[in-house]
Amino acid sequence: MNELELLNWARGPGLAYASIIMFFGISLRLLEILSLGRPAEYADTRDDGVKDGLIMIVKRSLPETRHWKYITASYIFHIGLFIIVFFFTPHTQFFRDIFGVFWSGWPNYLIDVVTVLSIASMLYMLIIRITDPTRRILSSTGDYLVWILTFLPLITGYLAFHRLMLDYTLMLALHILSVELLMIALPFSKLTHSFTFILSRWYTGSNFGRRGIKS
Amino acid sequence: MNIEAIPVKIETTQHSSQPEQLVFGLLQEIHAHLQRLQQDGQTFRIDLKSLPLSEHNRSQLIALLGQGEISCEFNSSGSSRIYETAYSGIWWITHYSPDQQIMAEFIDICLIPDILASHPDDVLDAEKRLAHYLKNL
Amino acid sequence: MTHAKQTLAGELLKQGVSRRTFLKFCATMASTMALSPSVSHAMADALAKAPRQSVIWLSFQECTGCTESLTRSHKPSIESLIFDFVSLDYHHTLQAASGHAAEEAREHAMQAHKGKYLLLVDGSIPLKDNGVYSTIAGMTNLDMLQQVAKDAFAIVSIGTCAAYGGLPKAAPNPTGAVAVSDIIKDKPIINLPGCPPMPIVMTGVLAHVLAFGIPELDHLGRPKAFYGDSIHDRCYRRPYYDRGLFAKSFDDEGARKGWCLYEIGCKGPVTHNACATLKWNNGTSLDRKKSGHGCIGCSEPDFWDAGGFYKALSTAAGNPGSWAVNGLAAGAVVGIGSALINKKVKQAAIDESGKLTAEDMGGQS
Repeated sequence: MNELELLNWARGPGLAYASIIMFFGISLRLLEILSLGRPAEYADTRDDGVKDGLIMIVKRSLPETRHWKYITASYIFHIGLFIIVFFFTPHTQFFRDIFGVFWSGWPNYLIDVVTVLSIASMLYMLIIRITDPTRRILSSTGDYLVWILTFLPLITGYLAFHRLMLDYTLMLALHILSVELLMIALPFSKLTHSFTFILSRWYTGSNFGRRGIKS
Repeated sequence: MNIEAIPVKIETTQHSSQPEQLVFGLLQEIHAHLQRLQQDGQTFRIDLKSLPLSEHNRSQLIALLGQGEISCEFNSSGSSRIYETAYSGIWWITHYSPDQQIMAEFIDICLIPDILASHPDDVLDAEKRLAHYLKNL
Repeated sequence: MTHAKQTLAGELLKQGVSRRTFLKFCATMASTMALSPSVSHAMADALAKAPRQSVIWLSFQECTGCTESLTRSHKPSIESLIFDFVSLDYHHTLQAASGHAAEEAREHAMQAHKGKYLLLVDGSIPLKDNGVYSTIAGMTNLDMLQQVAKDAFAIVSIGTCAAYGGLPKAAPNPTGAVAVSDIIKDKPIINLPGCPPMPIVMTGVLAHVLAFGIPELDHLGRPKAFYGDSIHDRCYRRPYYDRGLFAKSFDDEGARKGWCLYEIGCKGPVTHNACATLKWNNGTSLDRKKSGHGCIGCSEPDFWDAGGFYKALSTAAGNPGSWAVNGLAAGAVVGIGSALINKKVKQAAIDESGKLTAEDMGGQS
C-alpha cells in the first residue's frame, strides 16, 4: 500500500470506523452515567439546585491561584487546541463537509503560532507531571497514554503543514490516523471529560445547592 | 562623411535601478566565466530555466546585458533566437515552441554558440547534394 | 557513409532534420529534465550514434488520450520529433497497417530486435474472467503483455492506467483492471503517470532512455526529474495559501483574484507531476490552476477514488453523517441495555439488604 492509498483509507473507512466507535462510546457512557440518576431524596431540599449548578460550571472553569503555572499551561493547551481544531482552514472544510455549516478560518500564520504554544504547553505539563513527585505517584499508564494520543495529532499536523520529516502525503495520512486513534480512545479513557465535565460540574453545584452549602 | 558612415557600438542601457541580488550574483558568475573564456578559452552554458528567476529578474538581466551587433533567428520545430549581448562572448539563446512558449533559455559564454556553427555531418550531406546538383546541370 | 545512414543522425538527415535541430532538441530536453547543460552534448552524441530504436506500443484498456497528448498538442513540435528518433513498429492509432498485417509487423519487430526493443504500454490490463474484457486480435491483453514483455529490454507504462490502473481500476473495478507492474515483475519499468501525461515528459524520458538508459526513479517508479516536486510546491498560488486566502466556490470573488483552490478540492499537495513547472495547452493552463480548476491528482494512484475532485483534501472521503448517526444509535441501544443491567444489579443489592432494626443494632426491643 503506498502513501496515497493509506491517506484515502484514513479519510474513508478509517474515519468511518473511528466515528462509529467514538459516537457509540459517547452515547454509551452518557447513558450509563445518566441512568444512574440521583440517590432518592428523603428530605426536602433547600433549593432545586439549578442556579447553583450553572454557577458551578462557570466557577470551576475559571483559573485559580494555586498551581498557577500548570493551570496556565493547561489553559493555553485547551484553548489552543480548540482554535486549531475549529479555525484552521482545512479543518473548517472538514466541518463544512460534515455539518453543512461554514465559518471562515483564521490566517495560517496565526494558527501556526497557536500550534507552537499548544505543543510547548503540552511538553511543559508532561515535564511537570514527571518531575513533581506527587504528580508522578498519582500518574497512571492511562495518563501518559492519553498525553501521547493527544500530542500525536498536534505534532503530525505541524510537521505535515511545514513539510518536515516525511513526505507530505504520508505525514497527512499519519495525522488523520492519529486523530482517529484519539477518537477511538476518547470515550474509554479520562478524555471522557470532554463531554462529561459539564455534567460533573453541574452535579456538584446542584448538590451543594440542594444540601444548603454555599455554592 | 555622412552620418551613416560613423561606426556605432551599442553599449549597455543604463538601468535606473540597482540589479537585484539574484541578478547581481548571476552577473558575477557570468563575469567569472567570461574571464575563463578570455584566459584559456573555456566555454560555459547557464541554463536559465534552472534558476528561480522572476519575470522582473529576467527583464532586468536582458536589459543589463544589452544588445550587441549580431542577432540570429533559427527556424526549426519552432523558432529560436540567438543574439550576442553588448558584452562580446556572452550570447543569449532562447528556444521557442511553435506556440511561442519558451521551451529553453541559455546564456552561452563562448566565442560562438555551437548551434550557430554548421555541423560536419550536415556539411557532408550538403556537399553531396551540391555535387549532385552540379553533376546534373 | 553507409554506417552513418544507419544511425539515428543519418536517418534524421535523410528526413531533413539537421544536426543543428537535433542539437536544439537535446538542449531543450536536457533543460527540461534539469540535467546540466553540458549533458546536452553528451545526449546529442549518444543519440546521434545510436541505431534507430525499435519501439512497440501496446494499447490496452485505454482511451487513447496518451497518444493524443503526444501527437496532437502542437503542430510539428519539438516533442513530436521523438517519433522521428524511433522506429515505431506497432501502434494502433498511428500505424498504417491493420488486421493481420499489423500483428505480423509486431511479431517481425519482436524477432528482429529480440532483447533490444522498448515496450511502451498505455491502458490497464483486465484480469477478471480470464481477461476477456479486452482483447486484440483474439489475444487477451494479459497474454499479449506477457508475450511482448518477455524480450523487451525495458517497459514504459504511459499514463495512469498503465502505471497504476487508472480509470478502469476505479471502484468497483468491474473488469479487474491492474497496472503493468502488477503483472510484469522481471523487467525494468518506468511509470509515466498522468491522465494524460504531459507530452514533454514522455518525450524527455524516451530521449533519456535512448541516450543514457533508465533515469532515476522514485519509489513509485516515476522519473524523479519530472515527478520530484508536488504541484503544491511549485504552485504560483502559494502566497495565497500561505496567507489563508481561499476561493470558496468557482468564479466567486476570491477565485477571480486567483486565490488558492484548496477549498474547492485541489489535490495539489499530494500530487507529484511536472505540470506546475511545465505548461499545458499553450500555457493557458498551469496544470489547471490558471484555468481556475483545482488539481485532480491525475498522476497519483487511485485518484478517482480519492473522495471527489471538489471535496477538499481535509474532508472525509465518504458519507460521514451516516456513520455518526449509526454510531450514536448503536451506542444508545447498548447504553440503555447497560443502564437496565445496572439498575437490575442495584435493585438486587437493595433487595438483598434488609431493613436495619434496633434489634440488629444490639439494642433492646
